[in-house]
Amino acid sequence: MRIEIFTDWVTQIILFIILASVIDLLIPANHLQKYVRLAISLILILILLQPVFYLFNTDINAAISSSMNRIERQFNNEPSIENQIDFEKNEIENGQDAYILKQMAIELEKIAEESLKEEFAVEIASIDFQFSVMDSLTYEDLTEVIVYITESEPGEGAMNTVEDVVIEWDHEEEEHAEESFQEIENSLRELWEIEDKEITVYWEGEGF
Amino acid sequence: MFVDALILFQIAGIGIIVALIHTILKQMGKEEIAQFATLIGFILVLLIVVNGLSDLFQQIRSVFLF
Amino acid sequence: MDILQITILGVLASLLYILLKEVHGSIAFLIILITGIVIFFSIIQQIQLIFETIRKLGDQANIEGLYLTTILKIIGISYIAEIGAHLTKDAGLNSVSKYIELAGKIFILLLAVPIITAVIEAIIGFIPNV
Repeated sequence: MRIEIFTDWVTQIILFIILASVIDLLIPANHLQKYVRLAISLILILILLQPVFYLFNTDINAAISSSMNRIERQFNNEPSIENQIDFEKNEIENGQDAYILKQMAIELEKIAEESLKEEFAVEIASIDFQFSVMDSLTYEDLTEVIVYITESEPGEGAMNTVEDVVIEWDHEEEEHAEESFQEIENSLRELWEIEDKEITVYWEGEGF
Repeated sequence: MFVDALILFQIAGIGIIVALIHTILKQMGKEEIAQFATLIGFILVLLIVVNGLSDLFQQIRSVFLF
Repeated sequence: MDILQITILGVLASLLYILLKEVHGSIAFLIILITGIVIFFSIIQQIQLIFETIRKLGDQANIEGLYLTTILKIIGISYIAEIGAHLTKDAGLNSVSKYIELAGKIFILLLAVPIITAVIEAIIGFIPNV
């Protein structure tokens, strides 16, 4: 067992030296040769030291591959670690902001749902918030709440039969819309208790 | 190997022909067209050379395990 | 008789170069370039053969694959840097060819750095044990 390891080691050294001399001839002869020789001799040192590593139970291959990985990582992570941390932080914060806004929209919808359905037969499709300063989600910076509404679904007992409405719908809609938007805005403002902010109501899909 | 020598002759031929065209056009007094012909000839040869170069580097890459 | 062909190719290229230099300077340079490429192309196939042998021998002798790959990479870098440096030198850009050689050196050293660090770390690891 021991002698096997020893012969293995010796063959490795001999073969490596032969290979190294071949490679030494193979490389183009200019001043790059010095550097190639340096690298090859380093590897030769590693092979020569193998019994020592064996005695001390160090896993030299693991050490080499770990330091290789380290260097490769340094290469690939052009943006330094600090930048990356910053970037991740921003990403998390953005995610949190989006979550908070969504929760707020759901809350507001819940508050207004009932009365909107009763008074105007509409329901809220989605809510957008506009802030005067980007990235700063405080109540002070909130400038406008944009509400997208749709007709509430029939069958809740609030509407009469469809045909009756359709006849008048076309010509009445325009004025009716303007007025009722104003009314919806007012009642929303009351419901949500936000007096000093803009509330704008659009039909869903109409938008900007 | 024979094909490779062919490339050499091809390039030399293109060079000579382009030079010929250049002189003839110059004699006719069409200086700018002569320049243009030279440019086109050069680009043609460059195309061949760059193709060869890319092949070579590809080969090196595959041989030296990058 | 590849060597004969390569030599004849070189001589032919120099003849064509002399012929073309008077008429068309830039295409003459491209002739030099393509000659280098062709010669190298025929060389590299032979190099591949040698490398396969080296690889096989190394496997038989249980030499770590990592070492062999590192060596092959180093040789590849030196060849590529050599080609680039000579091409640019032929084109008359001496300083660029120097930079290419510098880059070759740096990258070879960079490949050697993990080995150096590994050796140093292992040796440092011995010290408290002794």
